[in-house]
Amino acid sequence: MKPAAVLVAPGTNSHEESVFAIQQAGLDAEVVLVADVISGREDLLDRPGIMVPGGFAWGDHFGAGRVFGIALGHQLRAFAETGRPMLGVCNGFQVFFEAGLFCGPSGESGGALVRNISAKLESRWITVRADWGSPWTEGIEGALLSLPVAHGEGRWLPSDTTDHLTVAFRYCRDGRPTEAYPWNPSGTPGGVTGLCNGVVLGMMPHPERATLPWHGSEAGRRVFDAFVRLMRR
Amino acid sequence: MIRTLVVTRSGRDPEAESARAAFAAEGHPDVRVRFESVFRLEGNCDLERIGRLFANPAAGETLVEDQGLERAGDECVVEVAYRPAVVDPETESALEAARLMGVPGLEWLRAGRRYVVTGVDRAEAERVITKHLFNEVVQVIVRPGDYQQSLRPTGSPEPVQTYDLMGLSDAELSELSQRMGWYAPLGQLQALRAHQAERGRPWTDVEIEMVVQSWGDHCYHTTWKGLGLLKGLMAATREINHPLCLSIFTDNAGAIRFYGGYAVFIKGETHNHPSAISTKGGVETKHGGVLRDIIFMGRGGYPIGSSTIMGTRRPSEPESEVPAGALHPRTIVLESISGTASYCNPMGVPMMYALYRAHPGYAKCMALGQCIGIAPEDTIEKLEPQPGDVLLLIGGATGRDGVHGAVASSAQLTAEMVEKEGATVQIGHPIVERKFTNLVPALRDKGWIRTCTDLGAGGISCCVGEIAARCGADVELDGLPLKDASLASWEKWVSESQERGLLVIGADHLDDVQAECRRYAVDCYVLGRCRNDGRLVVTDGGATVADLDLRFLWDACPIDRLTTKEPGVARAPVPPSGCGELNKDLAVRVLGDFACCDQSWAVHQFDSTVQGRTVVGPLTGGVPSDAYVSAPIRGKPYGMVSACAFVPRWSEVDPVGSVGSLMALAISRSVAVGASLEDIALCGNYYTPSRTPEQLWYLEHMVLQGAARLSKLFGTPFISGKDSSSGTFRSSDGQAIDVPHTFVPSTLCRMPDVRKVTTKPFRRTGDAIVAVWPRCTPSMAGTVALELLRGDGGGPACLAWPCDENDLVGLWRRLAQSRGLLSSAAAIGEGGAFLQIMHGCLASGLGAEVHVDADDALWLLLGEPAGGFLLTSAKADELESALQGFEVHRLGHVTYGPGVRVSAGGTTVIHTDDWPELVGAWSTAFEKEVLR
Repeated sequence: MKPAAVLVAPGTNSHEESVFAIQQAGLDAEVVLVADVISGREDLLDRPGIMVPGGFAWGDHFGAGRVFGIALGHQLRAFAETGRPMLGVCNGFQVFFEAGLFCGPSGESGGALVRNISAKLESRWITVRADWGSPWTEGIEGALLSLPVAHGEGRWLPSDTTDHLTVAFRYCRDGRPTEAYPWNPSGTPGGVTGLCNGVVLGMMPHPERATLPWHGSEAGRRVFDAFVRLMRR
Repeated sequence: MIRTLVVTRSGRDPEAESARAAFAAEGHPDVRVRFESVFRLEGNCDLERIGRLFANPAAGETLVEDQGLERAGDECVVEVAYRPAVVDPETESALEAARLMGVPGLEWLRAGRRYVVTGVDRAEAERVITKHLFNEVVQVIVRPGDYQQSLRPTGSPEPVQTYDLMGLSDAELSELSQRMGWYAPLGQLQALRAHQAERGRPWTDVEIEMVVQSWGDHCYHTTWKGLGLLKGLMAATREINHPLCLSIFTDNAGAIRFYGGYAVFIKGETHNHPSAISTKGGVETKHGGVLRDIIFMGRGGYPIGSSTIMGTRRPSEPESEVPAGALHPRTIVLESISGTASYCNPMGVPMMYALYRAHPGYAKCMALGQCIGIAPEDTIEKLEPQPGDVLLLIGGATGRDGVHGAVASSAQLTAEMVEKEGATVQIGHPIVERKFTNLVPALRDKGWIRTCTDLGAGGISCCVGEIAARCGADVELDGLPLKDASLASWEKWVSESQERGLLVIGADHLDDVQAECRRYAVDCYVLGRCRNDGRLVVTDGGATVADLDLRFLWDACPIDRLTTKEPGVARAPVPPSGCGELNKDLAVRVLGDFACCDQSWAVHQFDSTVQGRTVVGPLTGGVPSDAYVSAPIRGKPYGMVSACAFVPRWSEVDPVGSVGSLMALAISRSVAVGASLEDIALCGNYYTPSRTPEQLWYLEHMVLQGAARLSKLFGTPFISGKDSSSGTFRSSDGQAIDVPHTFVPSTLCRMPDVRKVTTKPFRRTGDAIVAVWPRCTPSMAGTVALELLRGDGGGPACLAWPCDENDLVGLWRRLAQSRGLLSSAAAIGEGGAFLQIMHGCLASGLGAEVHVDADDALWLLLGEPAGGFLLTSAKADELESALQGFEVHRLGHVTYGPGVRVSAGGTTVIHTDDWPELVGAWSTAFEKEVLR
């Protein structure tokens, strides 16, 4: 099988470090341009896993991740059906929502990611807790991870029914989930900042920016270790 | 057909809440507002299918057919959109999305925003909205009946004009230049008239526009050339002969050798003029410009760090004191933060540092942006274009944006120009630039780029003129992708539409390059081909619109001999004693000063960790870092370090002397984190008042006696920089306001191992707190404390400067050798050692106990000595011994905090109980200044 795919749309800006983080965790990865997917030159089904990294795909015009989610929605949903892991970070998380990857079996949307309460982009280091019940947090349940965030639309607006989703990460203050600013920079309810639908994980913090000793935290490696474990499964 | 769709939102709208808070702060507590998005679609497309693009019900968005601008009840609607000639950033995305969704028929889109206001009548609603949420330079209020015909800018281009200068007197030449917006000095106009006589035909508008913008101060640096400044600075750099220097002052940026076969490079540029008249667009332009300088450095580079440095008047200045015709400084600061966020974040370039400083001279604000890039060392040299090579224009379409921007930026800003030159400002479209940020290095690595350059000031004119200076070129403007069909040939030629670049590629690679452009979704256009005779021939609509010998363009510009005159101002140090005494109230005021306070409210809006390279970001433990440290090569610990110094108070008090103090501060900040003096190069940016003999004297001495001389003494070469000598604002009531003689040095350094960085946070209880600086004549001139005590900076006066300048070099070297003794390190700048003690405590949660003599207290804690450091160490005796020969002051020790206690001569002047007040002053001042 080909290396894991890190999808790059016009406006994506976190792909290089994402490729490096996957490689660092032990599996090959490479950049795949969405133009090649749309043209049919690339078939995502040849890949063991997909990551949609951060950025401002198509300028995030009309809604964060919207054009990407609509343009690639069909291919992303087809890939999700294979049961192989998918990781959406920041803009990638927003893309997953817009592509319908957090929809439930009866079509419930799972919600959306909307503007931070502060009405501005929040770039800062935060602490998240790995929650229980997600295949992505297996073995690190309860662990506190120090990771950077940088987003303007990271507040989860849940739909009426979200039983099909599992919380993977929550913002924490003193070890406990929080809705207080700035520990919870977006104002997201329950501190929820990472969600799973099966093996599809979306998260607002950037694990790919915290994988080396000089990053200030290597906690992001936990996420990529899980990604590689799920791809090898 | 034009259809109008409106998106309404349910639930919380943080942006509307933020606007309501701003209205209330400005005395409109009763005004309530809701935001709606409006999209006008031209063409015949399936609205049901395209609707999903504009509204996601899961996000609480509802798409409705237009209800019109009139509403029932007490609601009134104010709709704001960009002016007709400005293309919305959303347009391209909508057209692309429609294509990808398989929805045919969408021909154009315009976006706008509706403010649904309650609580006031329509006139008041419009007044409030235009004051807070509207920029008349680039936006309009939409009225019922607008947009009936077409959404696209339409019209026919003006035919090419010719100008016969032969019969014109000097006075008539000058009058014509003013009328046409050329802003050319008489000497240049006379040269044009003389050349017309030689070639025997009048000038076309394309030719004359090309010459005047190429010869403008912004592009040709006539002031600097007239004073021999660039020559002097380059001579100093050559004399230093630094082994790391790879490219100095010749390309878009200055480069030094990095590790692992790579080079790193730096560029800094001000965009003061557009930022002063329409700040958000101007600031976007400054970032877009320096980023492109890096992307098109050598044969292609990749940006790895950005900065923003803004000088304005006090943001809290009462409306009545704002110079007539200038924007309010609060507007400038807030819009500049918004512009930096809206450009740098999508570009995915980490923020290195963001500085906001205030000085009454900045009626025409200073807007400096910097960028650092990386590329393989063997690609940083541009290759010579060959005859037949293709000139490939990449990026966005060409519009009327920035027409005359290059010449306008070289002129004084007047209140009238705020209105008249609005066209020199444009709306940033960073996604277009982001796309070729990925493309250019990919083409470079395949070896397909012979040379390249970005389109900035002067547009196609400047970049073709430069790149084809020796070979010449044939250029065809007929098929140039346009934002506006009514553009005349000369407007196409000098348009400064951003987000464009020019690649020179061998003809045999054209197909491959075009295919890659398609993959990266980058538009491209074959602009022309290189010749072999130095002639530039431009055609449009089948006719030749310019035929110019490029040797004339680059060799014939007359450089005025500039006269300088020493102002004859006596300067002496302002001694510490007698200025005042250190006490809690003064400390609180210093911490709450705009230059010293916590500016993280702004900094947190800029992504500083993107790219996964950041080691030390703009903030460490919540306080400003001394320097940005990046590890640009993945997995390797090699470090790139950059720091800068921007202290308008110092510049005002002692324009020439401050150059050394600022260089010392920037270098000390780099040394504090771990860079060695041998690994430091400099970039210098200047912003000075408009040219008078006295102002030019200052400039000449700042550059030659300050920067050039000291760069040799320090062994730190200047490799890049830029100047602007148009820092005078003339208000509509006739007042002339000069900026302080501003110099901003920035460092570009390398360090072998980022794991050895030292930062500001205190590390251990019991560590000694030590201040060290070169032996000097103490002076409180230019300090924050003196201004607060006396209401001025003490000037004209001499800043504290080493008695022996070699001491600075000695201190930097000695500190590098003593690094193993340090727990923390910080350079001393504005706010003195006291501010750095506060930073050390705030970033660590620890506290400090400080004891000083009563007579020295003010100087030791609030003095701002050049090149000083605040250090902590567990081995204080060893450290003091290592630093023998310099002024070393053991100020106290780190405590189990939080809180700082300061005693002067045995009397406690600041108690640990004062901590909440001190922290409160520091942490709230910025928001109070800019938000109220």
